[in-house]
Amino acid sequence: MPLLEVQGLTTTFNTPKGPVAAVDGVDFCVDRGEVLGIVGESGCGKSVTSLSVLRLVPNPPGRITGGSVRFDGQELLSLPEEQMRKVRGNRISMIFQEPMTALNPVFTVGNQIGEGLRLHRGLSRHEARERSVEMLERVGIPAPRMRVDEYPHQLSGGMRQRVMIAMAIACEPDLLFADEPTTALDVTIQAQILALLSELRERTGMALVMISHDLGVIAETADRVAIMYAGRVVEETTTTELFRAPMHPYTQGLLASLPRVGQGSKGRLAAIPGTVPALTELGPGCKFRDRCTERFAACDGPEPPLTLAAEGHSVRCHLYARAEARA
Amino acid sequence: MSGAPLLEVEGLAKHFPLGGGWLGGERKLLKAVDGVSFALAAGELVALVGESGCGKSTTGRLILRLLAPTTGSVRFRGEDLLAADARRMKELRRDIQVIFQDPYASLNPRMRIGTILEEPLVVHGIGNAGERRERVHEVLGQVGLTESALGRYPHEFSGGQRQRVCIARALMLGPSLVVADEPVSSLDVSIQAQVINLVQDLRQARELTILFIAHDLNMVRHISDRVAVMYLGRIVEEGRTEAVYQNPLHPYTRALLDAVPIADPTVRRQRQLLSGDLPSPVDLPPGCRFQSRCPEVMDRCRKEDPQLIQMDSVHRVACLLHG
Repeated sequence: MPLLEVQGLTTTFNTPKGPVAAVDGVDFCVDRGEVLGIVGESGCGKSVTSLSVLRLVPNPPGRITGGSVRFDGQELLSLPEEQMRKVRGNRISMIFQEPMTALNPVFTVGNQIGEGLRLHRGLSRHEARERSVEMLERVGIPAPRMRVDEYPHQLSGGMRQRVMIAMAIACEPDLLFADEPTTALDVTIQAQILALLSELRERTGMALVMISHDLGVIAETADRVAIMYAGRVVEETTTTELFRAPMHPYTQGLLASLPRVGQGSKGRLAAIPGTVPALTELGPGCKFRDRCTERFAACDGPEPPLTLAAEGHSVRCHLYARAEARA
Repeated sequence: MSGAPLLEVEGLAKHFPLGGGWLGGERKLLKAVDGVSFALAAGELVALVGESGCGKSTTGRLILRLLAPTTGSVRFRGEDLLAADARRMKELRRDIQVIFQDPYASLNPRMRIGTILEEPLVVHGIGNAGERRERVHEVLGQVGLTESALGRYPHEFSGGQRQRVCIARALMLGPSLVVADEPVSSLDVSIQAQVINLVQDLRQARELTILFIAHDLNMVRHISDRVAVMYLGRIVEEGRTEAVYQNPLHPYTRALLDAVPIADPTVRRQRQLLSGDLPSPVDLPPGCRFQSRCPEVMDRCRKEDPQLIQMDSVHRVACLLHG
């Protein structure tokens, strides 16, 4: 049984133009100790997916309108809020993209790391502080005894992100959601944070959902990848397979649009035409069809389901549904 | 490089004073840019790369005279930009244009696209209404927008389309030099490629010279002829793009290139991680600026400030390991 099993997850937001499904029937699972990468561009629903799993979508305007989220055999969506609070920050944690807005500016970092420990583990103030020092040390912050009493504004961006990681892993969660954890950081600091996450994972065996728009980060960290487009998972397979043989025209386009070494330099990049559609403008049918280079008659029909097109490789595209029908 | 360069920057510096200094107390200086020299030949695309706070954007703004430098000189076609008076500067601005990073912040939300594009022509008193309209249409087509865009407002466009508008605006006056400050970093991956292709097409069609400020090292390798790597207000390495990428000489350049994630899961590499963060550009210690993070730091590095020296015809580096 997978650690996390998400099925048909749908989160709807009320907008002036009517309700819009930012996450629309998303399925994925994460095994114990596994790293799942979720890739997509702005507005594809990757962040809302993780917020939905943790039931942190602000309501109103957002609401989880369907699906199921089973964590370690337990359905989270129907859990009373009080029970949910015991899961959040304890068994499932999250780190956010922008550490300055995710940390509370008026509490010391020790206070914020210790909060979860006191709440979930019943540690005393003193014990929590000691443990916070340990956590700061574990995430590689120099002089942790001094830093534990500092406020977020006294730390650099990289250190703040380390503090957020320390907060998230203080209770040794089974699953960590990392939502663009390095996007706000410079590349040398990004490399440090990614190395830290993989070292922590090896040591604690926690599973990780790495949400990113950066295919390089995903290639280096994830075991499996789900590609999202306009609120849907459009392709899902192992990282090796995805980069070796991408199936969905969107995935192919994303990979082709990256500048590559030795690609007859100064050549043109293979750009995906058009722009990401507004969710309010989407009609029925495949959501990628207006930008797709492979569009054919079937694409104007009903939207294709996510189907297994090869072993361990699912894709949501009529090209493969057709192949399957022929076989 | 043949002939005189189009743009020549020498010893450019910008020091921002920070509080203190009024009654007694020594005045502290933030040295955002601290002695930068480079040149752009006509038609070249030179990238200025580095991490946040290295001074790359400030350098761009100094060249445009959006900020007044503390010292140094900027020569455009041999003419000292910093000595130009307001009138002369306005004339020169026709020839030197800019594209900013954030197409959401750099377009006036209350102006229609048509007005935004016409504005530079109006400001410089070029043509009559009819001629201006014609020129707007012409440039609009070149950046891949249709005429239906003209009557619309910026908020009706996506980020990529807005950046096309910004590019069109920069091209209205037919400049020979464009400073592009992170023109694609706020855009989605699939849109970045479109805008980069557009920049390359325009560059060829109009023989533009471009100073491309960026932090995406893969993109820079793809698009630039030469690259200058900045660290804490200085250029630490500069050269032909392929020379720098294939044979980085400065330990910082090596670390920077090494840190870039590779979009290929079959490549597994052992990174030499840099320790620590960028030190504050206030009160820098004597010696090399990179000493606190350098894996190859020597005693000398704490005393001597390395200068940019020519290694071969296409490659310069400021590091005591090399001479």
